[in-house]
Amino acid sequence: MAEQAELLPGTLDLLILKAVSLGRLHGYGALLRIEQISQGALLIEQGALYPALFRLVRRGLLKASWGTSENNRRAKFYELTTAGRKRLRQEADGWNRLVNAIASALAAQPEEV
Amino acid sequence: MRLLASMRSFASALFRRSHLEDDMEEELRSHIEYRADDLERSGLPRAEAERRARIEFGGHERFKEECREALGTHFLAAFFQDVRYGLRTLRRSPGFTVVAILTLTIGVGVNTSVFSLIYALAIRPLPVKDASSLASVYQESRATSQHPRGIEGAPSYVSYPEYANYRDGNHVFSGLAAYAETTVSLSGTEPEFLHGLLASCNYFDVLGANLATGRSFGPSDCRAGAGSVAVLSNGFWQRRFGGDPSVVGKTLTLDRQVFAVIGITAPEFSGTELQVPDLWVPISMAPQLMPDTFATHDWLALPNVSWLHVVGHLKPGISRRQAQAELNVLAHQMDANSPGAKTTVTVNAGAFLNGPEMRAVGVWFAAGLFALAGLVLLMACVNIANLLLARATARQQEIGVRLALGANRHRLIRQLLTESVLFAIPGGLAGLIVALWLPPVLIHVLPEMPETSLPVNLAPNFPILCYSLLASLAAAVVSSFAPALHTTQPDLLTILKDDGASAGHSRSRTRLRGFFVAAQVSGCTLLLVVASLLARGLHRAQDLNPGFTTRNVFVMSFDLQQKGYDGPRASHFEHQMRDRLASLPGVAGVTSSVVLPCVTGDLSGVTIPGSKAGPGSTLVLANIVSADYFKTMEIPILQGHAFTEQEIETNGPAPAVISRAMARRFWLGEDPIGKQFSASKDQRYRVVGIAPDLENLHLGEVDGPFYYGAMNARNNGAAEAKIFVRTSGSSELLSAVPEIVRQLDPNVMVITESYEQILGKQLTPARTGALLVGILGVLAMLLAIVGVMGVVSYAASQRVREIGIRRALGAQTRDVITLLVRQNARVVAIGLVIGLALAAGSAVLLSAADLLFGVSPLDPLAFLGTTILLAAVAFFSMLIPAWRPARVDPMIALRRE
Repeated sequence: MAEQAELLPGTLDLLILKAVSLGRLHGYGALLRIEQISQGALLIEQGALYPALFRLVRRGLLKASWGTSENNRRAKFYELTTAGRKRLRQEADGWNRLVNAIASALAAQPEEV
Repeated sequence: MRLLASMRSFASALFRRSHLEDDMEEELRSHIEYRADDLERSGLPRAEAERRARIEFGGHERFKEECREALGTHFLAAFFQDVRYGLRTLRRSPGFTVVAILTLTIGVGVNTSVFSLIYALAIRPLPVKDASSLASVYQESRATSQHPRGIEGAPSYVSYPEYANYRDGNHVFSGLAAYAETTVSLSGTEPEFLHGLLASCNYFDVLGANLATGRSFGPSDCRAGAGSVAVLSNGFWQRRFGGDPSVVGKTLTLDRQVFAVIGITAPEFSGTELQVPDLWVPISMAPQLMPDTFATHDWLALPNVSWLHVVGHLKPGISRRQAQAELNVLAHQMDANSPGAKTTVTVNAGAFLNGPEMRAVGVWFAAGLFALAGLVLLMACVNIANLLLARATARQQEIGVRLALGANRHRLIRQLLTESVLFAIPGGLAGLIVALWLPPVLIHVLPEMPETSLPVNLAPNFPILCYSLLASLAAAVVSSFAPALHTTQPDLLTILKDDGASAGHSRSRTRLRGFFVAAQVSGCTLLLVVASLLARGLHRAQDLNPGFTTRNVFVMSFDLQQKGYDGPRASHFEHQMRDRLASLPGVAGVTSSVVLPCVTGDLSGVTIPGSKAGPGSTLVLANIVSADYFKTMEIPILQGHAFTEQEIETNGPAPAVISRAMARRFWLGEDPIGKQFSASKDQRYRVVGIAPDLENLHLGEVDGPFYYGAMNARNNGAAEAKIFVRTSGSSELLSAVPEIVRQLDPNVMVITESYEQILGKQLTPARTGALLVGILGVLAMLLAIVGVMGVVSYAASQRVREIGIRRALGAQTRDVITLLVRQNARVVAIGLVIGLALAAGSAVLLSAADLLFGVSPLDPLAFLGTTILLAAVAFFSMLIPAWRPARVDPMIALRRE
């Protein structure tokens, strides 16, 4: 397992939106999905996931419904709404711009200055 | 869309809260089970897997709380939760709850009383029909040398031609009435002075006043020369005529004018002034009823005299601003006739005190009253803060545990504040009850209030209720904020390790509380000493003996000087008056005096030819009296004799009686009888007798040197003289006085008053002051009791373990109580001493203002009495909270740890 990093503040929402965009998920599933897609590099406090999920539902970015999972447990499943999909695109673009900007700033060589 | 979603979420959160709670709980549980499943698959036993899953999940409750917050249910749901929790807490400590509510009741009650008083006087609509549209018209007139302006009443009043201009020219008022207040004398078998209103003819129509019987003024009553008619007020009609309806049609003699009574007002109509008029007469009668002021001019025709109040109802839909604009136009048109004049009209909402002059003074007075009441509220706040601090200690552990379990600090503070809101509401409502009875007492403390019953409506209404609740809420929140911050300081380790009693800041807290208590004790000491000094002064004044009699003595004052009497004419009138009064049956003595002892005084520069006191004049007290003064006022002559009429008539130096102090001052060791001295106005006097030292200048204070000069035609005393009549008991003979005066000169006005009543009036400031300060003192004492009790129970709760050990080692209940009381006695003693010192300072000021009537400013009874009272009160307030912990079972006290 790669070395784990603390989440930057504000990025949890983005990760959840991304995880859910890949398919309808319940809370624990979302946690696993994030772990999986980040190759286990990101450390998420399990309980902290739920306030974030609730917040996203309240903002209308996710919708939730109760259902039964593959192993027959009742669980609440989350999926993206249209607004959520749009938001994910915006946030991802913003994030990429930020990362690129910071990466190019860090890559700067003395002679380029 | 998003808004809709969040609103839906909020709404469902609010209404299906318990459902959501279950939902949330189930979701979190399912998460843990999923995790446990995974862990189980990795080889852990189920039980261990579930345990690990829970640990990994983290603070379950904290996340739930955050979820609730995320759902937006938080505020209201949390509020209801807080309310439920707060109610439970308050029910668990009824003592605290009751005391906090009582304290708030006092503080808020006093404040609400002041508010409702000011509201009733300056804001509340007047007790007339359609009061909300009633407005008063005032104006500011720039007086110039070309346009001087006469003022009778206040500068903002209006002249009759100006009033007529406004009344006839405006389109904004449905009617404008004008009136002026005046005093008229009613002759008859029981003469009395009445409060009359000179009213414009439309007065009753404009104000929508109903009549109980008869009619109000008609247009014919207001023509010049007509109008000898009067409408009586219901109160006066009941008082004077016992409600006899046959009075209508009969006549009254007012200021020697005969008026026909044409109507009686309905009981609910009391006019628009604080003093309810006894009767109304048409304004056209002004020249007859105000002869002094109307002697030279016809004011009804003068445009530059301010003497009329103007009131009227605004037409529907017209604002005061519009009305003001239109009247200003009318005023400017009128100004055009007299170049340089500039008149600005103000239209104020109808209220008892709404004139610009009244408002200017009233603002300061209201500010002063609010400051006093605010002080009481502040004391109440300090008390509640004190109590809360004490309670905070007891709750430190509970709060500590909740903080440790992840409770959010803001949330805890909010919960503590919610608790104070819970006792603020009953406190505010109870304050309203105080505001039911306090304002009627307070209103008579206000200066220049008529002594008759006031038409002011002091009943609480919606604004007063709001004020009361708001004041209460503000006080509760203010007083609980600091303790809440203190209690929830996240200093978990100390709190949990210990029982919280010794949590770091307790030392500074104790000191702060000690300071509060000392301040409270000194404040209430000050108020109580001052109140008891004033009460002692009043008591003293009641059975004070100035050295002359005032019982059955009546004082008649005349306006001879105003009527142009010169010395000889006045002397003649005075002689005639005395002779006729003396011949009445039941008269025990008649005399004249320039000075009204104990009310007015006179100083005179005296020179003694060849006196040991040296040349130059010395100021002494003086009075000019007629021959029978000493007999009438029952003043003994110690040496020599009182002067006689014959002595006065003879030429040469006028006879004088001097006081013993004067004899000592000028003729020490000599016989002053027969000696001469001269006084101001080149009067020469010859001493014929010596009188004792009396209290002529100030009641309760023995005079310095004093002489009584004989009244004669030369010293012009008669024109200013009052006539004193001592009767043998009945005052019936006084009804003859106006007739006697009329026979001598129908133009002369006479006022007859009982000497005792005059002196009683002198006591009014002291009486109202004593009442007000006394009420505040008692309230302050109640607050101080609460403060002292709070401190002691705090100290006791802090030391429960120590007390337990002491008791286990054999300390008796008494020893423990002594311990607790002694600890706080110092603070109380310091407060007491400071309060006594402040009181001594104030007492000197009171004495200088002649409010103590000879009681020493350091009167031992007042000071010692208050000290003993407060010490006893403080002792018992310390004893009661010390009692319980002192008797605590050592085992329980120790096990509590």
